[in-house]
Amino acid sequence: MTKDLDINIVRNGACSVVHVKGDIDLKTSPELRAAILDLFEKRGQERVVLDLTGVHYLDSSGIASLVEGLQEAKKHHARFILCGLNEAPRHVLELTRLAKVFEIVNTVEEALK
Amino acid sequence: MELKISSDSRWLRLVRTVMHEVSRQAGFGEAERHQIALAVDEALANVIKHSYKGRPDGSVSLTCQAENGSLEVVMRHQGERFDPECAAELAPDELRAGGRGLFLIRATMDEVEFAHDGECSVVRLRKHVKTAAQ
Repeated sequence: MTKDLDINIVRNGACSVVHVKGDIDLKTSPELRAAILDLFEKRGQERVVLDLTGVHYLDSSGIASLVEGLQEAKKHHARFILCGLNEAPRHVLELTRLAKVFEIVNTVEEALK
Repeated sequence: MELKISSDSRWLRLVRTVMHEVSRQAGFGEAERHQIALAVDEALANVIKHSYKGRPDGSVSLTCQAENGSLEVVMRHQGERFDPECAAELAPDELRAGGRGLFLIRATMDEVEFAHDGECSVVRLRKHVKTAAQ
């Protein structure tokens, strides 16, 4: 049985890249939320890059997880960067007028500069 | 088309896939198919989370009917009634975690109605196929 959401975290010092693959919805978003919050709260990461190249669906519960990640980053004076946004997740962020609230770049390489 | 499922979030993905296909057959383009799948997903997620309080053993039925250039999706359930008037208003760009589901449903569908028919709560969503002139 395949997992609904694959989360692969690559840590390098105080910077982490979270590679996500699958749909982010009510079922899968709690796992993503927990992974992001853990990096800021317990692992003291100063920069977390969320690579959404493998994500083609994002709903309001996924948006809520991203917003919580951003709030946590601000609390810890850290950066939370989204990259690799496909059309559908980008559309949802634009509909909710949050595209300008997040730091969004095209690639992981840009996010790590 | 009629689909009967339990109030388990594991069905969300299947429902999205079904909605993509139903809306394709109804003549919607790719962007609109995504919007319909998103709206139905959000409505079902609301039922699971709020009406059935996360219980996976409730029942939900979905019927889809395409006619006269539009698609109507009707969701019926026996969970707690959802009053959209009581849902917290949220400015879309407000930096609060929750509360965007209803906003997304209204932003993507042409008609949205919450009702109760005596036995079930009913969520009725409708979207019109855009013609070339639109």
